[in-house]
Amino acid sequence: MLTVRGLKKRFGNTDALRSVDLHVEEGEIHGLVGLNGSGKTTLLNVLFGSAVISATGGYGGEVLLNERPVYLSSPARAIGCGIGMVHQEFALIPSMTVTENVTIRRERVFAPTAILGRDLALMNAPANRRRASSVLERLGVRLDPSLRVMDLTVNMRQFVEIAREIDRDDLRVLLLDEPTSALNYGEVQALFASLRSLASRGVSLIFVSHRLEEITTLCHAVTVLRDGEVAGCFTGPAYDVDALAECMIGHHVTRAQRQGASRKGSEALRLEGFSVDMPGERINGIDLTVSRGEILGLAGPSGHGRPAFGYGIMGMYPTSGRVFVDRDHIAPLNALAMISRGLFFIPEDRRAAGLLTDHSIMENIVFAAMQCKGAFLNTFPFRPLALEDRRHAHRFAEECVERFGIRCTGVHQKVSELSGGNQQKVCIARALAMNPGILMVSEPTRGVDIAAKETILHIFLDLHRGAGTTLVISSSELDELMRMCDRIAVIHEGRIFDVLDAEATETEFALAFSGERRVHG
Amino acid sequence: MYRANAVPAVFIVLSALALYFSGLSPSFVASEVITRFIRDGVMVLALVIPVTAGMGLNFAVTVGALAAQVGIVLAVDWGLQGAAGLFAITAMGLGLSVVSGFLIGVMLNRVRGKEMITTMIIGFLATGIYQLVFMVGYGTVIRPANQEMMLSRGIGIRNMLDLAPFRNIIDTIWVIQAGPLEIPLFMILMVLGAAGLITYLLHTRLGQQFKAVGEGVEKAEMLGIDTRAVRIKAIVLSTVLACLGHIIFTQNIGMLNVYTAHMNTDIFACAALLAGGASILRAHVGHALLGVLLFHSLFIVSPQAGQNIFSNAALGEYFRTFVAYGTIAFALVMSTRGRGSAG
Repeated sequence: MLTVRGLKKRFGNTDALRSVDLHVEEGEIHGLVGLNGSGKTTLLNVLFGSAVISATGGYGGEVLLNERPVYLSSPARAIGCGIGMVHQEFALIPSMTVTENVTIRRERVFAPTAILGRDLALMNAPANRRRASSVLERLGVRLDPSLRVMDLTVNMRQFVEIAREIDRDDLRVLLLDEPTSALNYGEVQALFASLRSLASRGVSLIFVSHRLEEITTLCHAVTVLRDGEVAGCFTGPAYDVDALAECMIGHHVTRAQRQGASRKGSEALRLEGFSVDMPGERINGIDLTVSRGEILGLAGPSGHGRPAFGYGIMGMYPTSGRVFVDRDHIAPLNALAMISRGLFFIPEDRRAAGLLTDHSIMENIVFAAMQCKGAFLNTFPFRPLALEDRRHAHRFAEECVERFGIRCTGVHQKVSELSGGNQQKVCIARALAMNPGILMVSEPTRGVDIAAKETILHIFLDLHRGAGTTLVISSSELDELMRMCDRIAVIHEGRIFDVLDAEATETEFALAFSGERRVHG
Repeated sequence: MYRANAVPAVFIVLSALALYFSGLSPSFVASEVITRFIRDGVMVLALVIPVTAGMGLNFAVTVGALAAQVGIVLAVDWGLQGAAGLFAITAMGLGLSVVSGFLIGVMLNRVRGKEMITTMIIGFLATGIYQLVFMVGYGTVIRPANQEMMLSRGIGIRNMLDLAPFRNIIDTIWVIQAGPLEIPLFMILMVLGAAGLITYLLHTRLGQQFKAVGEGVEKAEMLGIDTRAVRIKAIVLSTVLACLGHIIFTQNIGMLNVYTAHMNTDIFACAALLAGGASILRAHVGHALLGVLLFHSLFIVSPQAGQNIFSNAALGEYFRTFVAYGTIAFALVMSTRGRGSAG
């Protein structure tokens, strides 16, 4: 069905892909794995004709569909060839309804008006709604198709994104970029069932995921990319998670693990009746104390308020209740007040809230520290007009690149050119430049590969051990929290349901996640 | 949303106050408002599609107005008359506005994110070219057939053209007398027809593409939409409607001020749209229709109110300018998207 021969792609002076071969049969589910920066996203972008590729000089090599060579110059061309893509960042129009998003560009029209041409015929809203409902039903999702996408939770948006592609009758190849990162276990199973039925209808699927267990359960064959090359190709049942992991990395990774309990100091952060009005993630009156030098985890299902914690404390959404840092009441809440009290927050949405993507790695790392703390500045000519100390900034940035293993051409490379995991490392490096006493992190390893994930966790543990930084880590990966944290607060329906210690069993967590009390005795 | 709806409320209160102080009879105001609704309705409607397509306020509706004026001047030059003449004007104007709309669209595709200031400058530029052609070109390069419309020195057209052959040709169809009011039903239906056309377009696939492009060019591109073509279509439609709107306007007035009639059409149309509760990110037909009524109500009563309160009619004039630009400035400042919008 789909064959890729000798695919090459350069961005500036870096080779993103050097001679990649790939073959996917009709009805095959083909896994694609690799570390961040290994070229997975670039490969998908080439196959979908994305603007990034054409804007940077196109690609080399050959793509064949049904043995016929095609050149994928634009998404419109790729779609015309029967290629569809489920985007990691979603290609959804927020203010449109679910129906409109699912049926976009394939809207049914009223037959009598069709004489005006496809584009000028009147849309048949009831037919579109029925169509959208039936696709969502096939995916096993109960969702009112007249809701607007902006009002949906991330996992529901993910289903809408998938439904849009599955609805296509002319679909021959479907590219899925991390379609499961926002889904829970049950939802993933439902998705897999529909992907399998899609494959049995003869559609070829290319499935990208960082969760190797998913790859091994779903895919018929797997291609492993490393540094823009095919590092291995596994078919049949003869592959497992360990084999894949070793092939991806090329060497063994040590798992980050907390060594013993932290020494707890005085009170660092205290919340009293703290509520955050964040749409879809509301927090209703929580009380919580974090001690200095502790690592606190925040767990809980999505849609129950976990992300609102950090955003709320930084004053990015309306809040009520009281927040104390080092026993001082902070009001009003805003980022500058918090930063000056030594509290820093790394949000989960790094593209939107975290990084200046058009600026260099170095500028990103030192920006906040320079603006808020006056670091990296010369004392010349005098303080308010001080010049940037570029040499110092440069040295610090290079240290960070070295220490965290940020893959880049140099500290002056634009952040937008880095892969997701490396962008996350830049975010962390920037937080370190602030030298915070309390560091709040949201989803530190989302969309990050297994090697980078361990590096990132190690960085946090080192920071905690070395500088004694208090850490508040919010994550959907329970395993990660259990390895890192002293205590884990489970947030359920906007309240702290329970604070468990890291030695609690998976069952206890599962109960807390579903909001059920342990039955004592 | 909440803030956007405050604007019409402010206009209603201001108009009511000004009406009270002006001492004008409501029936006089109503008949004036109906006249303005007909004159300016289509021009305001022309702004809806570019806003939907994410290009902001299209100040280049001036170019559509200029296209109409070119058609009118040529018709007068060639001595065309009556309905046939009006038809010829429309044909010429539309042809010119399709071409110029396409050119504007191509230009705007090069300046994504800065459409509004670009359309404004394009409007000024077009005015300059237009004035050059009719002030200098006519009588030198272009040989006029109708000497009466030329300035006495033989170069350039007179400031004022009398449009007697076209005056109120379509205004007088289906006029209903309702008490003291004259209601030109056909013209009202024509404006509503234009509104219906836009509503229809927004419920087609093309309309869906306008909305998708308006939400984000990158996303629309990922959906396989040719965003450049969609944006060009939006501007062409807008320019064409503006041209029609200006033809209706001038035939209603019955005179053409050759060099200045098109000026401020963009500002007043934009202000009217915003008065109806639109923002530079969201606008629909209802905003346009309501906006024309509200904005012009205030326009009609404010000079007399100024005269009565401060014994100074000019104050009303200043007030008009203040209201028009104030509304636009307010909408621009209030245009930031809500935080935490879906990604």
